[in-house]
Amino acid sequence: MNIVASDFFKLRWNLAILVLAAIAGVAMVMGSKRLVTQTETTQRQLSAQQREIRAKLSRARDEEQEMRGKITLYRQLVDRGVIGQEERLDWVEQIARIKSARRLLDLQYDLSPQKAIDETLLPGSQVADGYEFMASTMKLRMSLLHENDLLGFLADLRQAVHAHLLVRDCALGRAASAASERGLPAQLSAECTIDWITLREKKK
Amino acid sequence: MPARRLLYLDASRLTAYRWRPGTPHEEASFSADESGLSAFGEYLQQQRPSVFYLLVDVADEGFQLESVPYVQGRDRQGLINRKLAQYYYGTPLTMAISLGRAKEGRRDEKMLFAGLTGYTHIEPWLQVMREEETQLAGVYSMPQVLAGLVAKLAGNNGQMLVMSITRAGLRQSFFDQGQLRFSRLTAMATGRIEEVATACAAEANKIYQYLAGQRLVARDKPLQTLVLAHPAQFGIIGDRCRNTTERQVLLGDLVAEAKKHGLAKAPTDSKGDNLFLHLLAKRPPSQQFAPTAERRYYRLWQARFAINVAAAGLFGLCLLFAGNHMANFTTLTEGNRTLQTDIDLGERRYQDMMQGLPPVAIGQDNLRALTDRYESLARRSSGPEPLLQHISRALGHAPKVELTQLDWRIAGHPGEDRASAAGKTSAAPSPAATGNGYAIVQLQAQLPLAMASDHRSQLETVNAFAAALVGNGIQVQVLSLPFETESGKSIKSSEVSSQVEPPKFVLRMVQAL
Repeated sequence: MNIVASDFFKLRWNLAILVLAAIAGVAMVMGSKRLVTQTETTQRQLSAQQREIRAKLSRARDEEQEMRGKITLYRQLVDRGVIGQEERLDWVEQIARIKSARRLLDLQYDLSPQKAIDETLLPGSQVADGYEFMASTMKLRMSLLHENDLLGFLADLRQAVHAHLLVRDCALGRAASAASERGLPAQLSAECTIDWITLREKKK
Repeated sequence: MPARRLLYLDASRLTAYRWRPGTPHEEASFSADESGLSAFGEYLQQQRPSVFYLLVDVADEGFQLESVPYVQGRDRQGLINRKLAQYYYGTPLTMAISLGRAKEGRRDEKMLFAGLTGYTHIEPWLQVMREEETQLAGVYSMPQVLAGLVAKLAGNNGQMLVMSITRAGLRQSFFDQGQLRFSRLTAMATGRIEEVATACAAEANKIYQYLAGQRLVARDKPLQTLVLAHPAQFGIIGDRCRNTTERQVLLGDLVAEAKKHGLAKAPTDSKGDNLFLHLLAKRPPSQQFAPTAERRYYRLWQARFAINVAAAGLFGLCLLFAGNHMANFTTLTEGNRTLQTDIDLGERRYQDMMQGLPPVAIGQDNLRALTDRYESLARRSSGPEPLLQHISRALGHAPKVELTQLDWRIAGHPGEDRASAAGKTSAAPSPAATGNGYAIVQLQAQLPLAMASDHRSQLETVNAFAAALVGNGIQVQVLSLPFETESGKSIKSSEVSSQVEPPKFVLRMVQAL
């Protein structure tokens, strides 16, 4: 039978139903397939989370110990004033006090403005989540009777000041003979670079 | 599926049946006049969604047997059309039935050309059907329906004359090897069984003579003649239609045949109208008489039906796929729920464990990041004391060595010198700088003036001192010696110099932090 145009007109509703059924069917298949794909993705994510949480649980005891250590360290940093603002006045007073107590011959220093810590000292980033590592670099020049004057000074300084001290370099050499305040000639001269490091809460 | 309706057309009327499985149910009957045609039109309007089968049971039909050259395709159709037009000019209700090819000679094809020659009687009914856009599946003749019955009744062996009785009269159909060769209808005046039984004998004689004349049967043996009748009327038929030298009469049980073919209601007399209608509805013959134009609306219905089936099939298939997906989705969702429960449980257990920790004003992740960074910094903050103490111990074992200058510093790379470290304050760290860095000491020293002329002792003292410095992960490199023994360097005598100086040397110490 030859189908003519008028026959197509008579078949229009059936053809429309066929098209609609095809569209609805394909949409249904694609929609359900999409649902399955999404759910499979979710399942993969959940499986990864499950593995992660299981691993986390298996190392939880060690982690608990580790966290206790970190909390202790954090509290120490707070107590020592490493976390917080610089206390430059206190630093200067402490240097003067140590110089006097140790009867050091001569001590000169030059403290630069505070800036973010040099990346060569702390590779990666100067920022830990929420905190910035800041450093004030001090150029220290000392005349020494003995090298222990330098080591003792550094040890006292570490104990006394509210900052973390990082000695970057130190050059020790024989001093030109000249009498000091104490009447004894300085045997050694020292030049050191020291970073006074504090942790500052990051500005948001 | 739409309802199927059967139209039985005889010489005087057209009777409409609604067919349900096993039961043709008479709905209406129309006389072959103006009023009947009009009523038929109304009936068709009411039953428009139905599919109709027209069974014609009239005397005006022709059968022509002919062998034609075996051709195929358009040539075959052209040949058949020419033959039909030649035999049945004036009626479009024709058809050609292939009876197979001859086994000898050029193997011509045997064709039975059949036609309903009383077109003027049928055409008004077809006209009404066209006007009402009736879905006419086809026009069939009674012998076609009988052929289906006989094929099962007598198989395909031998020749047989089948005499059947309908309201139109007594039909005699000749079958050879189960295939229809010829058929004619003899109208009955009263239709009573006595008249039919008498006509059986007379018509059997006549048709035998005709068939013999056409050389369709051999004269030397009796023709098997099967009379389909009700068992209760076997007696009267047997009495009046006896065996002769020309025929061997067999009585076919119409009731048994009706039962065998699934007719719900057995015939009450020898008229097989209902059985034949039932057979037509149950297994319509593959060929029919109506030309294409008459079947246009049926073809449209078929197209519509096919489209609907395709739509339903497609939708069903999609539904199956979607159902499969949804079953997977349900399984996956259930699995995800279990996983989520497990994760939540694990998180709670972990949180319970961590809640035992001392309180601190910073989140755990931040605390971890901060302390890790600080510890990394602290590892670089040991200062010069450890190395100085180490050097001090080594000096204790080397009293002849006197330090003149000591440069200590931390560096990102073990090969970094002071100049490059100074120029790299803000540059990106070297690859090795990702570790904890290195403490580097450049040490300048001298030996007593008394050893100035004893080069061997100088070298031994320096080497012993350097060896004493090695240890605790410290690497020592001699940058310069008081006396160079290498072939690539020049040597001068001490007398050349006006002033004798203490022997000097330079060492470099590197320790990973």
